[in-house]
Amino acid sequence: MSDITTVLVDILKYTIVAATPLLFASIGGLFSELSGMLNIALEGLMGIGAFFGMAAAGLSHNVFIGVLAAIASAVAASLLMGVVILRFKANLFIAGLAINLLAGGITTVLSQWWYHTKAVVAFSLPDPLNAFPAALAQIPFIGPVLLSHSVLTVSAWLWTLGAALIINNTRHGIRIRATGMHAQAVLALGYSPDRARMAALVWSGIGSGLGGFALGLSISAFVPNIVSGRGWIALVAIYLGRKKPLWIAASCLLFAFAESLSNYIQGFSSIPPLIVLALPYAVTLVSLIVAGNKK
Amino acid sequence: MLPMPAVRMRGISKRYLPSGIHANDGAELVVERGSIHAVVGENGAGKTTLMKILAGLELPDSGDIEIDGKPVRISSPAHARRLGIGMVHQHFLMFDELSAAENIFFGLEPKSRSHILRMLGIIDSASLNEQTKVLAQAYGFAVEPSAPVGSLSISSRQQVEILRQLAAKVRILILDEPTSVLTKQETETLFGKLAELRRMGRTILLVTHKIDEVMQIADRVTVMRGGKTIGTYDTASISANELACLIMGATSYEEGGPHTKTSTTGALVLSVQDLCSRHRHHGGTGLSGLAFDIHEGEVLGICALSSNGLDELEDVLAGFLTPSAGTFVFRGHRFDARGSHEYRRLLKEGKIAYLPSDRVRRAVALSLPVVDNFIALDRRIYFPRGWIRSTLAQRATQEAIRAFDISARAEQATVELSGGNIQKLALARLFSKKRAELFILCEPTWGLDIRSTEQVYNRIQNISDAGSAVLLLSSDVDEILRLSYRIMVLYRGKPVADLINSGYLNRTLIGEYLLGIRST
Repeated sequence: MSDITTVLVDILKYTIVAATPLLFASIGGLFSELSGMLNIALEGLMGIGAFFGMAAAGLSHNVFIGVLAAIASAVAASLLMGVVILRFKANLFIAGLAINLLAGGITTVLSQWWYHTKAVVAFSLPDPLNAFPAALAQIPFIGPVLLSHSVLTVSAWLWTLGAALIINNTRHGIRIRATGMHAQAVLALGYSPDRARMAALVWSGIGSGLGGFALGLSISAFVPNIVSGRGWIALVAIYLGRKKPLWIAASCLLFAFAESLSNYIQGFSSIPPLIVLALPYAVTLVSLIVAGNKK
Repeated sequence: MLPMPAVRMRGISKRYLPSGIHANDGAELVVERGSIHAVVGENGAGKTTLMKILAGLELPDSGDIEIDGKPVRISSPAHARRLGIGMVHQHFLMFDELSAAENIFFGLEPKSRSHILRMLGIIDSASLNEQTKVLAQAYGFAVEPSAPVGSLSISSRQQVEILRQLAAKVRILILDEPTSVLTKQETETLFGKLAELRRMGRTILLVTHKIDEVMQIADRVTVMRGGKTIGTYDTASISANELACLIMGATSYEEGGPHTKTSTTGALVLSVQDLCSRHRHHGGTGLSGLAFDIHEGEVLGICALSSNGLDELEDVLAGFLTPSAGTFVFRGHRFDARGSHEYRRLLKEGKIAYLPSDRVRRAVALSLPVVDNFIALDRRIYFPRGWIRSTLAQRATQEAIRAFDISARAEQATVELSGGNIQKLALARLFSKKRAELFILCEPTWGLDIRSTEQVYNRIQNISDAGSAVLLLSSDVDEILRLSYRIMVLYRGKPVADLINSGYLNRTLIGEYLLGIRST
C-alpha cells in the first residue's frame, strides 16, 4: 500500500471510531427532541456515563459491567431531570444546565475522593472485543476501515438502526413523536404526554451514557472534561440531520471526520495545534450555517 | 317505560379561577340516544365548557352525570373514551406529520403478525392502512390513509377527526362548531354523514351558533345562556326566530338586511397592482397576480377558504411579510410593495388601520390590563411628552367598554376576557383611530355571537358611510355577502372572481368559486 492509502485508511478508520460516542448521544437526544424537549444536558449526561462507566469497569475489570453502570448512572440523572421538569414544572433549560454543572462537579469531587486526583485516571482494562473475525481485516482498504471495529462501535450503528425502527414503526415511537407535535392532542386522546417525555428522556440517558463510556473506553481513562463539547456537537447533529436517524448518522460521520483529520494534522508542526484542534468545532459551525441557509 | 337517555347532566357548575366567573351554573342536558342534538348559545353561554366536562377535559365543581342511565364521574379524556364519548374540537387536535391512518388509529395501531416483530412492538403498516380504508368505507368517507394530515384540506382533516372517534368505537360524538371552517357544499356533505351516523344509532351533540343549521339537521336543541340551561325544544315545534330570541334573551329579533350601497363615487384610496408572494404559510399557496382598487366609502370583501392565500394577503397588507413583486398606490403615491417601509409608515401613522385575524397573538398583550391594551397604539394621544396621561387613558377606556359592551373592567388582565370580548376590545381601539383612511379588517366576527356580530356589522357600515375605505378579508361567505360592495374570491392564491354584489350573488355561487369549480 502506498503512503497516501495508509494515511487515508488511518483517517477513515478513526472517523468511524470517533463517530461512536456522537452516534450514541445524538440518537439518544433525538428521542427527547422528538418528544418536544430540546435536551441540552447531553454533554453532562455523557460525562456522568463516562465517569461511572469507567469506574465500574475498572473496579470489576469487566467492560460489560462498565456498560451497565454507564447506562444506569446517565439514566438516573435524566430521570432526575425528568422529574424536575415534568413533575415540578421546572424550566427545561435551567434543569439541563443544572445537570451539566452537576456532572462536572460530581465527577471531579468523586475522582478526588476515590482516586485522589483531579487529573487523568487511567484504568487497565481487557482489550476491547473485536466484532469481526480477524481474517476480515485483511481485505484491502475495506478491512481495516470498516471491518476491524469493537463490539461497542458496531453497537452504535445497531443502536441507530434500532432507534429508526422504534421511532417510525412502533406505538411507542409514534406516541413520542405525537407528543412533540401536539401534546394537547395526545392528552385529549387519553394518553399521557408526560409519560412519553419521561420515556424519551430515559432513551436520552441510555444513549449519552453509552456515548460517554465509549469515549472513556477509547483512551482507557477518565479525564475531567473528557466530553469536551461532544454532547453539544451531538445536539447539532440532531438538527443537521433534520431529526432523521440516518441523516443524523451521516452528520455524526462528518463531525467525526473533522475530528479524525484534526488529530492527523496535529502531526505537522508547521500548523499551530490550537487551530487544528478547533477544526471539529469550526466544521460544526459552518455546517450549521449551511444547513440554516438551506431552509 | 321511557327509553334511557344517552346523556343526562344535572346541576352542572364550573367556576374558572382566578376570575371566579361561572362558566356553568347549574346547567342541565338530556340527550336521547340515536338523535342529533344541538347545543346553542351566545359566546360565553357555557356550551363548550359543558361539552368539555362531558368529554372529560374539565372536571365540574358540582353536578351529576349519567351515561346510558349509569351515574358516572368522568375523570379524564381516557375515561370518556372508555364510556364511548368522543369530541371533535373546533381547532383540530391532529398530528400534522403523521399519516391519516396513524392519526385515526392513534394508540390502537395493529401489531405486526410476525411473532418476532410483534414482540418488538412493530406496527403492521399495511394492515393499518387497510383498516383505515375499511373504516372509511363503512361510513362513506373518502380518506387517503397514507397521506400526512398536514397536507389535507380542512374538510378532509375534519373527516379524519370524526373517523378517529369512530375508530375508538365512540357512541356519543360531540362536534364543536364543526361548520365554522366549511363551505356550504362541504357543510351539506358533513350533514349527510351525520344523518347517516344517526341512522346507525350514534348519538350526536352539535355545538353551534348557526340557527339555520340547527333547524336543518338537529332533532332537538338545548339553549344555554349565562352558564344556565334555558330549555330544550324539538326543532319541529319551534321557529328559527323564536330560537334566536331564546338565545339572546330578547323578545324580538330582526336580522339586518344586506348592504345595498351600490355606488363608488369616492376617490381612490389604495390601488394594489400585480401582487405576488412566493412565501407559503403552512399548507398555503402564496399569492399570484393579485390586483384591486379600493375607494372612499367602499367595502371590498376578499374571500377564500383556508390555505388559499388569505393569510398571506393579510400578512403582506399588515407589513409582516415582504411580497416578491407588486406595487401599491396610496392616495396617488406609488411605491414598490417590496420596499415596504413606506407602506409600514402608513400603518404606523394610523392612515391604515389593521384588525388582525389572530386577535390573541397579534391584537393584544394578554398579560396587560385592558386599559394598557386600549391605549398602546396611540402614542400621540396618550403619551404626548413621553409619559402616560392616565386620567385620559382611564376615561377613554371606560367609554370604549361602554360603547362596545365589553364585559370587563379597565384594570382587569386581558387574559381573563373571553375571545369575543378581546375582539370587541381590538375593534374599539381600531375604530377610535380618527386618522384612518383605510380599514383592513381580517375575520372581524370570527367566534362572535349573533348580537356582537350585528354590532360589528353596524359599525363597519358606519365607518364606510362616513367615507372610509374598508377592506374585508374573511372566510365567512355570509359576512362577505352581507357587507361588501365588491367581492373578490381567491383560489390557490389567485383571484378567480371579481364581482359586484348585486342581487344574483348567493352562498352557493360564491362557494363554487371558493372550491375552484367556477371561475370568471
